[in-house]
Amino acid sequence: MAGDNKVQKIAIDIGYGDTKVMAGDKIFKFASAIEKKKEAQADYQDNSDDVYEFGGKKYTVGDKALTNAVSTRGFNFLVKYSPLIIFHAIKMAGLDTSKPIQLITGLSIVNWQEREQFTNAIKTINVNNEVIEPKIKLMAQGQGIYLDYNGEKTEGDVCIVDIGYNTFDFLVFTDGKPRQDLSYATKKGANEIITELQTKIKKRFQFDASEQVAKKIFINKSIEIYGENTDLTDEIEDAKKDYAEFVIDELRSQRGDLLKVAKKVIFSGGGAYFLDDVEILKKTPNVTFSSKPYEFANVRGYYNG
Amino acid sequence: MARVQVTVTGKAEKLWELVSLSKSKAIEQAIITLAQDKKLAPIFFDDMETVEAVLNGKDDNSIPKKPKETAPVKAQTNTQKQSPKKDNNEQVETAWG
Repeated sequence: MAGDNKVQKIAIDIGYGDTKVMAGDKIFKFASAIEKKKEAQADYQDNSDDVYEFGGKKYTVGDKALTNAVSTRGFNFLVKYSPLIIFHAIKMAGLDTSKPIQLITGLSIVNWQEREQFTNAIKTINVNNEVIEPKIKLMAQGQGIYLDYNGEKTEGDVCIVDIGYNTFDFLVFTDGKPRQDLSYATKKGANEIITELQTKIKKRFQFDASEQVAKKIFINKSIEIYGENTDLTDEIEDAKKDYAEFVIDELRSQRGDLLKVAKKVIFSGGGAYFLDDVEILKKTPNVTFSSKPYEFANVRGYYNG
Repeated sequence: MARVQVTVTGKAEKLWELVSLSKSKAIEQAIITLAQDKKLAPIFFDDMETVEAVLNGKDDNSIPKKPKETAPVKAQTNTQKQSPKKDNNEQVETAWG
């Protein structure tokens, strides 16, 4: 990867749940989690691979930061910590920070108005006293899915439904050209399912599950309280169905007419796993799904597009 | 102590007139309530970590001061200004719209 002075290309899709990365033949993801190290902790963990010095403080980034992750999420989190997340991705991809880097990344159109704030924050990345000034290509989240899609997509209207953890992006392309006027995004991502599960757990077990714990319960489909394991498959399946219904209703009410005439409606993003076995979508001829793993579709498109 | 001058309009102005307790206390309480509201706070405060530290009653020495806290982004902006050769448009390309 390092080698001569050739520009090293890396695509990074920073989600509120996970960050997806592609560089050459490497494709991987890590939790978009940041933990601020206390001074005492930082002293003896200085040499750890995932501890970085940024703005005079020490942080852990990625999966190891999940337990004590900074709880705030949102655009401010993205602006403040993207340099750190990008640096971690660059290191994990094995790029040489002393050589030129081309970074292709995306931003949800929910935050498109504030894109300059985002790009200004990542133009100069200064972590561990290493300074990176990448050449940046900024796309809209969901645009990568369009570029990644291999089927016919250059004629008529093609819609992208990108279901992220915190965001739901609906993008439209007409004859291959982005249509800002028809595209929109909301903050009702797949996290709605986790939130609903948290409420159900609280009601049934009087247990306040954190978002991370609820995610684990969601994956395991069971919960252990005082050592007793309870199966939650039904509750989780119900939550998934409710979310699928919400997505379909949302699309119908917002862009119902467009969906009827669109050549293709491509679903993707991590949340697409909740929808790919929904009968009504399976039976609709213009509905399709991107290649699996869905959560990597954006980053594949950013990289190869 | 900070002295503030505020302008309130619309409904807020009407409600302002109805505040029966000390108006300074009302503003104090409004700021605290805003900071405690998980949905609204990120809209009004940039530095949520420091906000949380203040709400948790950490002493002044353990609360990172604002300029230091915002250093990453500011430092980067400054560094950018120091590199006149770098053309912003050249460095950033936007592919949407």
